[in-house]
Order: sequence, then structure tokens, then C-alpha cells
Amino acid sequence: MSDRPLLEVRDLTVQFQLGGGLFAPKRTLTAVNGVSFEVMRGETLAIVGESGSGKSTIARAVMRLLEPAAGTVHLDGDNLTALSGAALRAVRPKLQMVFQDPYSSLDPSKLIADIVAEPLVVHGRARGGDAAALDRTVQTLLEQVGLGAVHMNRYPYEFSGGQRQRIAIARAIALEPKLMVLDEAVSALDVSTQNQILNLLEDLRTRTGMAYLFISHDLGVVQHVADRVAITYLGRIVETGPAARIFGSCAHPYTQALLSAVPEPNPRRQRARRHQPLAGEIPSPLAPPSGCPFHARCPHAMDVCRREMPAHTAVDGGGSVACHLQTEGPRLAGKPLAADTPTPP
Amino acid sequence: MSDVAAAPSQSGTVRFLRRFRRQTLSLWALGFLIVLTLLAVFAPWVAPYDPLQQDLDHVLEGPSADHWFGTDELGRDVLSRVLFASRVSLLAAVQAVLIALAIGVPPGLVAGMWGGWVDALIMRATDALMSFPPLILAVAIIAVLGPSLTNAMIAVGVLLSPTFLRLMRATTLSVAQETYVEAAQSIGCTRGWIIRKHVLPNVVSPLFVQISVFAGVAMLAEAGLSFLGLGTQPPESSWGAMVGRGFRYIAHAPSLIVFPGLAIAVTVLALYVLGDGLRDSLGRETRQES
Amino acid sequence: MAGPLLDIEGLNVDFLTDQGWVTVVRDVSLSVAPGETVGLVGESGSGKTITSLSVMRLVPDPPGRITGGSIRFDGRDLLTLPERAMRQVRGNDIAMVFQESMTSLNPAFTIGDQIAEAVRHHLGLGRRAAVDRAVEVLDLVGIPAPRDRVDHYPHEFSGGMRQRAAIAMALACEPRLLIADEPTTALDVTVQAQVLELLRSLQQRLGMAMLFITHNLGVVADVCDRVSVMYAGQVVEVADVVDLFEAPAHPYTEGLLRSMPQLGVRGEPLATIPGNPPLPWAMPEGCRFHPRCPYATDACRSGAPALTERGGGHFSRCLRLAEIELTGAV
Ligand SMILES: Nc1ncnc2c1ncn2[C@@H]1O[C@H](COP(=O)(O)OP(=O)(O)OP(=O)(O)O)[C@@H](O)[C@H]1O
Ligand SMILES: Nc1ncnc2c1ncn2[C@@H]1O[C@H](COP(=O)(O)OP(=O)(O)OP(=O)(O)O)[C@@H](O)[C@H]1O
Ligand code: SF4
Ligand SMILES: [Mg+2]
Ligand SMILES: [Mg+2]
Repeated sequence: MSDRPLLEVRDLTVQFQLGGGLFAPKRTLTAVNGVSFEVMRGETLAIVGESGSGKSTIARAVMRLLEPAAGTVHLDGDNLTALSGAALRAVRPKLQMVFQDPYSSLDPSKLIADIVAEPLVVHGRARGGDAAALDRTVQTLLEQVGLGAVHMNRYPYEFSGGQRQRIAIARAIALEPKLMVLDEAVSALDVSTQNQILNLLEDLRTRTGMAYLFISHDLGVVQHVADRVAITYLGRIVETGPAARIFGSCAHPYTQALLSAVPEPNPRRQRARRHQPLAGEIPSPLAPPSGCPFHARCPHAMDVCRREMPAHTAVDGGGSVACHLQTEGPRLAGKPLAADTPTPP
Repeated sequence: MSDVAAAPSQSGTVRFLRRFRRQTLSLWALGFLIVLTLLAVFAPWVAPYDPLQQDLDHVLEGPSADHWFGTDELGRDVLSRVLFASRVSLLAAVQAVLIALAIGVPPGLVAGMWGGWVDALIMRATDALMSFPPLILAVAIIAVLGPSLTNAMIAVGVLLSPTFLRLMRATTLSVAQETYVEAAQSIGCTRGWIIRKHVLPNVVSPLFVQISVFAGVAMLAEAGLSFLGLGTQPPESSWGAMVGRGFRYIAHAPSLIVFPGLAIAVTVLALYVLGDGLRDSLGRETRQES
Repeated sequence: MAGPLLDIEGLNVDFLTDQGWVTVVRDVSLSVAPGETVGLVGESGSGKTITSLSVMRLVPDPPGRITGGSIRFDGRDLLTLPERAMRQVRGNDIAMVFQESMTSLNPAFTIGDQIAEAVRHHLGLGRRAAVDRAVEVLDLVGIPAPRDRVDHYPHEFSGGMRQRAAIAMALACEPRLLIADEPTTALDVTVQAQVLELLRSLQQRLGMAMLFITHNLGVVADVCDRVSVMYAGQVVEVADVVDLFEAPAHPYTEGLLRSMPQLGVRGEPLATIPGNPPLPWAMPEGCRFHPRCPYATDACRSGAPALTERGGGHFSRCLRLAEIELTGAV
């Protein structure tokens, strides 16, 4: 194992042009703003954040499904942002993606066998058109995700959400990728099925040494799978660190709000601890606020927060945080910000 | 682990057939259209008389044992003429639909797939085309190309094409936004592959429905244009042309327009019913309300 | 207490599949009192969405068909109501947030147009007022810069924002019953908490009742008064929310509670219920849960259990209800 990161994202910025009708002026929405992170070989990095904070956009930029406005994405030494056309298609086998919605990510007009075989066919790995060999490969892939040959000649609509997600995973591992991007891959599933898929992913990881970029907003799930966690807010990463540190003593007020808002599956306790959710407007990425993006909702906001964008500073226990409390206010790093941050056993 | 295997699987076609089989009315419509097509193809063998053979002793007669549908002003057998005219009418409808498909589908696909200014341009052009009153447009096209059945059908095809274009654009647009298209891109499929393998198979079903309905519309349009003398030219005859010429003798021999008129009405109805049945049987397997 | 606002009795829904007609919702009964929140939980494909679509009379037909039972809303049987009257009920009295927000929003129209359309139709507002109302409800569900956002198309929203827009659309007409199918699944927990708080406050202000479908037992614990658990097209347990969590009476519910990912240990495999849910055309004989049930006996393989009261309004569809001791959430 080399110590160069498998995936290295530097200052990634993605913008969308909106409007631009006959009379409406064009407006620029910055969905991802100067984001940097890396994923080591065999590691799971979880990206957690508010809806609309740019998680899927990061994933799609990493996958080169959209063109970033600035920044670079290096995978295993290749600069993906500089590649296009055939050269880009040639490195695609190294990184694969599983999408959130198992109902729309499989083509309804294709048989399962064709869906799983497609990446092999497209990349000319169908062993010289030997149909029987291809069938055997597909069968092995399906077996790896807990399905079998009996499922090959069926259509997606015949499967439950969890089974479809298994099919999507079988297809994604067909090319033996080094990195798998999982964009809310288990969010749509019920808890028991979700656990089955998480166990499967963990199992695949120990067998193949794949790395995961695991996007989720379910902190319970993240705690089970992640080595490291990055928290996003309004297109920026506001805190990163080893999972143990994030869940043990987070440093950013938003992370803390996230952790304390996880509802507990226990009616008495949940109702007792239920408290006012974060007040304040969620800022619009069309008109980002000055200073810290979180200041409008932050219970600790100070004057400086409204004026200046906090820089990332290192935190004891690993990782970094972009919050003025680190430098200006009472230093809170190293201990939970508030009493009700759930503490793991 | 799972034992979903219990149930055998079917291909999409089989699934479609199973559903379609339950649509009794559509089955009748389909049956009628098949019989009609066979009659048209084999008209020379099934028609009791030569459609052009005149018999001036028996003109403008009503239905009889010798002439089931009666005779026309030149004593020609109306049944035979209806049978032969069906070839022209059916072929005309097919022509118009093919032309409409050829003009409408590719740009619709392109507009839906590429979006942006390409889309805007195509849609503006379509709007411009559709803002002409249809009859005037048809007459203008025929005036330029000259009156003939093919030219009339080109006109009808042009008129129908915007609907195909819009339908194609709308379905392509929604299919192109489906995650499976993005998923295909993410495994490294080329754009051509994606259009061929993922977009086209998922946009054809609504197209089939529209084709069936438009064949009916085209047939009506042909009848209308031929009635006005802008379509079929003698000695060839279509149902519409027969109605047009029979009109002069409406007082003496109503059967001259009743039978070709009925043929038009029933065929158009059958096409509409078939379209409805197709719509219901081709419905994609979605798990949600519409 | 007045009678229930919504009362579903013995609902059966069949679907035409390749395997012929199959019953996907079997003898489902469920009631929601005014102002009450009833949770509907259960495995994927267990019939939660179809049950709620039945209330709106939106079961896709074909291939679906309601073949039995009654659905009374405020005393009227919705299943026999003429389509005109039903349209009046939909949106006005009962609103629904659909599971797939992407499919419930039309990609061809702006978010604002879609909400305005709904309120113009139901509240008879003018164009300008309808758009204002759209902005107001978007703001209510926490969409930033709602004035700008009304002019955006659904694909310009993130998944979570689309979900919030869908909730806004449902709330725009202040319905008496809100059916929410996984309304917060796509949202982060802070926004989820906001939306739940919003729903609670609307409930207090308007006396709105809710039928809340979710996989998230934490959310159930937070918002629901009573819970119905579905498995393979049947209701297998009905209980007060505290009872359900502390003393579940059906082995499936126990498995569900055990699978709840706690903020806890990393590394060891997560608890699951082994196997997959049965497909509607291959329902097991006897108790439908028996192939996956750790407590199953021979009796379970042959005899189909009925929904039986254990006491205190707590029902379970388990043959061994009286014999087994189940553990709840800790
Ligand atoms: N195709 C697009 N056109 C315009 N704006 C877009 C587009 N896709 C995303 N956005 C905007 O970019 C921002 C980030 O969206 P993104 O989908 O990345 O969020 P997310 O973090 O994945 O949220 P969620 O958890 O809800 O899925 C949002 O404000 C969204 O409106
Ligand atoms: N259009 C359809 N055609 C055929 N079967 C259908 C259709 N819609 C639903 N079903 C079947 O009805 C059953 C119940 O589906 P339903 O959508 O109600 O499940 P659910 O409990 O809402 O699941 P989830 O948690 O995944 O949303 C499933 O077995 C499903 O396959
Ligand atoms: S920098 Fe200030 S506003 Fe931002 S999170 Fe920290 S305390 Fe709050
Ligand atoms: Mg997303
Ligand atoms: Mg559902």
C-alpha cells in the first residue's frame, strides 16, 4: 500500500448556470465551492451534510459526469479533470458509482443479465464475444452480492428495492474498481435491508480492498462504515476528521447540530430530548452569506463570523475545522460542544 | 438465499402480449385492421368485378344480389371499387405517418437529448410551423408540389410531424433525466450507445400509440383532401375521393357515399381503439401513481 | 372522542402481473383520528404505498384494482364517491406527499407553477395570489430564497429540496389529513427535525391528522401516536407507539427494532432479518413471516394467524402471541 492517496480532490468548484430565459438574466449557482479531500486505498470516507449542500454534485464531479468550474480530481495518478472522450472512458473502470434511487438507476427495458454485463461489454472485456463465458462472469458477480443465476433473465421491476441495489452493486464491481462512489446508496431502503447491503459492502471491502466515497445523511449508518468523515455545508467542507473524533468530540457547531438532531428510536427518550431545531434561514447557494456559511443558524455566532470566512485549522484528534470558535471564541475542541451530543459507548 | 426463482420470467414482449390479450375491444380492432389489410392486398382476387369495368345499363343502382354495394354513375361495382380504394387509402395513411416520423422523430430526439440552444432552436421552428393554419399549409404545399396523392400525404405528414417531434422530445427529455442514463455514462458508455441502448427502447412505446392514432388522422386528412380534389387523381380512387365524387349523386344513390364513408369511419375508429389498447398494455412498469 | 377521520376496513388491492392477479394488500384495516398521527412502517414492498394510494383512489388502474373493503373519510365512503367529488377531496381534504418526489413533480413546469396550479384549483385564488402562496409555503418548508426558487425547474433542485417542495405543495391547501410517504427520507437530520416540527405545529394549529409512512424508527418514535406495522401486504401489528417500542408483540417488529442502526459500534456486522420479503405471487402458506421468523413452529407453517388483541389496543398477527417473550428497544 502506497501512501499516496487513491483519490485526491483539490479546490473543486462546480457551478450551474440558471435562468437565462428571454428576460431573466443568467445567474450562477455555486454548488460546490473550493472543496478538497482525499481518499486512501481501501478507506471509507463519508461525506455528510445538509440536503442541497452539494454532496451529489461532488460525487458527479468526481465521476466526471459534470464539468467542474475549477479544481482537480486525481485518481491513482491520473488527472481526471484533464481527460475527456476515449481517454476518460479508459479510466472509468477504476471508479464506479451506485446511485441513490434503486428504482430509476436500472434501465427498465433491460434484463438483469444485460444490466450487469453492460460495463464488461462496453469496455471490451466480454472475452471475445463468448456469450457463455460472459454469462458465467455475470453469475459470479450476482453471487457476490447474494443473488444468483435464477435472477439473470428477469427485469428490474420484478425486484425489491434492496435487491435492485444489490444488482447495481454487482454491476459496479464488474470492472473491479479501485474506488466506489456510493451516493446515498442505502437511504431508500428499509432498515433491515439497509443493514444487509451495508454488511455486503463491508464484506466486499475486506475481500477486494476497494475504497468507498460514501455519501449519506444518516449519521447512524456513517458511524458504522466510515473511517473518516467530511461534513459539508452550503458547498463547502466545514469539518473533517477520523470518524472516532467526529462522533466523539466534534468541533463544528453544525456537526454538533447534526449529531443532536438524530432522532432516537425510543419514543420516551426521543420526546424528552426533543428540542427546538436549529432556527434561522438556510442560506441560498444563489446568494451565499458573507463570512461563515453557517452563521445565520449557528447558536455561537460572533461578529467575526458574519464578516470573515473561517479558514480550516487543525483539530486535536485529527482532521480540521473551519470555525472561528477555534481561534477566536472559547476553545471547544477536545470536548463535546454541548451536553447532549450523543456519546458512543 | 432468496427464492424469487419460483416464478418464471417473461420478456417484455410476452408481458405486453399478456396484457394486450385482455383488451377485448382492441383485439377486435386489430382483427378488423388485419382483415382489411389482407383484403386490400388480395383485392384483385377477392373483388367480384373489375373496378374500372363500366356497365352503362346499370348506373346508380342501389345494393342488390349482383352488386352488394350498388353501382356508380358509370355502372362500376362499388364493392370492388371500395376494395381497390382501400389499397390507396391505407397506403396513403402509411405514407403520411412515415413522413411524419421521418421529419418529427430525429429532431425530437436531438432536442430532448442535447437540450440548451439546440432544443430552443428546434422548438422555435416547430412553433413557427404550427402557427400556420393547417389547411392553408396543406394547400400551399400541394400548390407547390402539384396535386397528387403522394404530395397530399407529404403535406399531411408535415402537418403531423410537430406532434411526433414534441412527443419524442418530451419522452426523451424525461428518459434522459433518468438515473440509468447517467449510470450508463458513468460506466463509460458513448453517447451513441446510450441513445441506441437506453433511450430509444424506452421512448418507442408512447410512439406506437401515437402512430396508431395518427394513421387514423392521416386517413381522415386524405379523405378530406381527396374530397376537395387535392389528393387522389382519377382514375385512381381512394375512399375519400369516392365520397367526393359520390356527393354529386347523393339524392339518387346515397349508397355511393355511405359505403366508402363507412369504411373510413370504421377504420379510423379501429385505429383509435387500437391506440388506446396499446397505451394501456405498453404502460411501463412504474411503481408510482401517474 | 369523535369517530375516526379516516377508517380503512378490510382493504384488498389486487394487481395484474405476469403471474395473473395477485393480492398485494390483504385485509388491511387502519384508522386515524382527527389530529392523530399514525405511523405505517414495514419492509419495502409490504404495501404501504399502495394502501395510501388507495385512500387517494390513485392506485394505478390498470394494472391495480381495489377489490374489497371500505375507506371512510369523515363518514363518507371514498370508494363509492363519484370521481368529481373525489377530485374535490384530493388536495383539499386529503393531501399526499409521494415517496418519489422526482416523479410527483412535473419536470416540464417550474416548482412555483406546480404549487400555484394546485392552490388555484383548490382554493380558487388568482394567479398572483397563488404564486404568493407558493412562495409562502416554500418558505415554510425551509427552501432558501423562495422568491427565486419558485421559478426553478425540479431538476435544478437537490433531492432533498425537491422533497421539501413536494411537502410544500401538499401543505399549500391546508388539508385535514396529510398522507406522507417517506417525506423525510431524503433530508438531513437538521432539516428533518425542522420539517417534523413544522408538521407538528400545523397539526396543532389546524388539527391536521397524519398518516406517516417511514422506514426510520427514530422518526416514528418522534412523531407518531400509534403505529401499524405491515409485512407482505398485511398489517401484522398495531400498537400505541410506546408499547410498540417497549413491548413489541410480533417477531417481525422485534427484528425491525433490532436492525435499527444506533449511533454505536463500528466493525461488527449489523443485525438483519435473514432472507428477503416474499413476492406477492409466492406468498408462504400459514404465517407469511414464518420462513424468516426465529420463533416459527410447524403450526406457523400451516395456520394463518389473525390479527389478535393482546390487550390495551395492542394487536398482533402471530400464532405464538401468548407464548413468546419479545424484546423491545432499549
Ligand atoms: N442540474 C442542476 N442545475 C442547477 N442547479 C443544480 C443542479 N444540480 C444541483 N443543483 C444545485 O446545486 C446544489 C447542490 O445540489 P446537490 O444535489 O449536490 O445537493 P446534495 O447535497 O446532494 O443534496 P441532497 O442530500 O438533497 O441530495 C443545490 O442548490 C441544487 O439546487
Ligand atoms: N404498478 C405496479 N404493478 C405491479 N405491482 C405493483 C405495482 N405497484 C406496486 N406493486 C406491488 O405491490 C406491492 C406493494 O407495493 P408498495 O409500493 O405498496 O410497497 P411499499 O410498502 O410502499 O414499499 P417501499 O417501502 O419500497 O416503498 C409490491 O409487491 C409491489 O411489487
Ligand atoms: S464560525 Fe462562527 S458562525 Fe460559523 S460555525 Fe463557527 S461559530 Fe458558528
Ligand atoms: Mg444528493
Ligand atoms: Mg412505498
